[in-house]
Amino acid sequence: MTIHARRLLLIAAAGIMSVFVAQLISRNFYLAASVDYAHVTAATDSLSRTRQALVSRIAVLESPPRLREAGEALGLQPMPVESFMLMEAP
Amino acid sequence: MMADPVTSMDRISARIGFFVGVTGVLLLLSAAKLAGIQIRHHEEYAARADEQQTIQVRVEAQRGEILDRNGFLLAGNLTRACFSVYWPNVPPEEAAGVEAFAAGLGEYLTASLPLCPTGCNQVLAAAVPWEYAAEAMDSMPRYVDCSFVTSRVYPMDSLAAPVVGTHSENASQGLEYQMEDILEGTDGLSYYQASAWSGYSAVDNEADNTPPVNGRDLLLTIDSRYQEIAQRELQAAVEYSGSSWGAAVLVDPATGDILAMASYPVYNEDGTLARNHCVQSATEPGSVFKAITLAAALEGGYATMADSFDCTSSFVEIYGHRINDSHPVNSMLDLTGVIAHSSNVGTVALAQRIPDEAFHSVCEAFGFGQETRIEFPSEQRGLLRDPSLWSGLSRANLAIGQEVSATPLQLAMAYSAIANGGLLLRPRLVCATLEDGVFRELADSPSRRVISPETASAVRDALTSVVEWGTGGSAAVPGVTVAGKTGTAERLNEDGYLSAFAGMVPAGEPRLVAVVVFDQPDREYRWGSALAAPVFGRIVSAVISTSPEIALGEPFPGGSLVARGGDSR
Repeated sequence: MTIHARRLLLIAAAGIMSVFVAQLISRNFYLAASVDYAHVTAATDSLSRTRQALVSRIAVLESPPRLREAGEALGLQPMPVESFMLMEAP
Repeated sequence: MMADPVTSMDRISARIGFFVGVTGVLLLLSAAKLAGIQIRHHEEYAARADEQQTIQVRVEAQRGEILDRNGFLLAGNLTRACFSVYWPNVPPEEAAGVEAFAAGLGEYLTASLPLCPTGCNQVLAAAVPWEYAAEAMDSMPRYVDCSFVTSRVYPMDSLAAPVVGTHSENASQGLEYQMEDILEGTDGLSYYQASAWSGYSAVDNEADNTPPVNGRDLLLTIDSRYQEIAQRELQAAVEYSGSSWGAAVLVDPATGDILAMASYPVYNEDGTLARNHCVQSATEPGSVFKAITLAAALEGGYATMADSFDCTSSFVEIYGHRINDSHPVNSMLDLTGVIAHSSNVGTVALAQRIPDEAFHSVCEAFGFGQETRIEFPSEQRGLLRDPSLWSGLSRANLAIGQEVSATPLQLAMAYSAIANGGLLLRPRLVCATLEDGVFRELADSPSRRVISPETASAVRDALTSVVEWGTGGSAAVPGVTVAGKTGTAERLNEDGYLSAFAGMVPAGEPRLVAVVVFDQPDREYRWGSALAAPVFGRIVSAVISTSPEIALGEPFPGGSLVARGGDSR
């Protein structure tokens, strides 16, 4: 086998190895990105559900019957309409 | 003896040649096999690999929320977790860890401690709130399963149920049913690639992943504060009056927006949602209908407000049938007096001047006998018979609100036309949808002119007299002028009466129309003035206390609405 043939074989082997390594790296990137995507999706879903729970809790806390009961317990009541007047712009 | 070097080299070359030949044949066989796998049976093996590695997961779409006009949540979603353990899979040495986890679930634990790891599947805790479950999952043993269930939640509970309805996997009612196409989302599909050795799972980007499409949110015209007031007052009145049901509708006469739609009872005895009587029950309106008779007479030029009617007798006889005055006046009355005293005798005399076709035409123009086309299921259209089917008594009966049936919503929209100067609007319950944070307002309700502004104004003046010195005094609200009409109707098909009041505030420039109806109250509450009118007064009074601008008007630009000696609003 001549020196040129050996060089050609070495270059071919190095090329194949490079392609293999490149594929391995890209596959790893792909997997890492996919796993990250799955984590982000799960986190988004979790936050969405947490938001729903909080919105529901806020709605219960701010619901008109609850506010009325709380106000009445404090001795408060709505002001009669005679208590209000329109102030015109100067 | 030394071997011949030439012969030895030949043998080595022959052996190498043999070895290379065999290796070459083996490589060729391998290549052939690989070609068979990779090329010939590629699809078969690829599908088998996908089947083993790919997991298909349904991604649940969230149902749209329902909000009131101020953005207050009326219907939302809530995710709850269920923790369970399948004991046959749990090694004995791991049972203590499962027990410790169960003990940490605290108030949500449904299984009794100590756990008894003898059965198959055991639910440790059900209906665990999401936030708590998310934390608990961090310390969850691998042998415990966690599943999630998303359910509908109604923060105002029964107070908004007549409007919003209910939703479950099996059935929907009310707006939840009517708006199903908007509220319902489309579930998505995700394909995950699972690894056998490291346990990771990643979304397969090359697969046909479809993201979920969440349902759109609905923004209603309902104001939850008014809804609570109307529902609370209605419930109290139905209970003390012994009525079989009550209904109240609050409308913005300028837009046709439904501000509150209360109906009681909310639930049937079997726990199902009762009908919304505002929309789904048509009854004889009684004297509330006299405002329509008055409008028909004035609009057609068959009478003027100055005309006098002989009400000296307490009854009038039409084709041998006596129609009595409930509150005999025994004097001559002008049209304002006829309406204010709710004189049947005077109203029948007025109706005799209106031709059947003209009377029917105005009633039809006000929307009676037709659906209002509100966004609510199973709407009743009521009854307004064609004049060709009328008897000699029909015109007189129609004039006083008999031989006609209407839903409280139809009455509210007819009174809204009187309030806004003569335009009949289509009632609106949904004003916008919300998608990805963007509001899309729905088109305004179409309207049609029913009566002239002059006729509407004259009718409003007569209705103001009803509350100021007529039968509707109990509907008066301090601080604001009320125009309205009482109604007491005999039920045609069933025993008992119907007590009603329809009115508007402020009388001069109405910004709120309300109709209150009670079916079959106890005898002492049968009059509209005894039951429906005071409830109207209490509801409107509370609503105005919440929103004084209804009585006083919106402040001019640069002006403000202030409480005397108090805060500015």
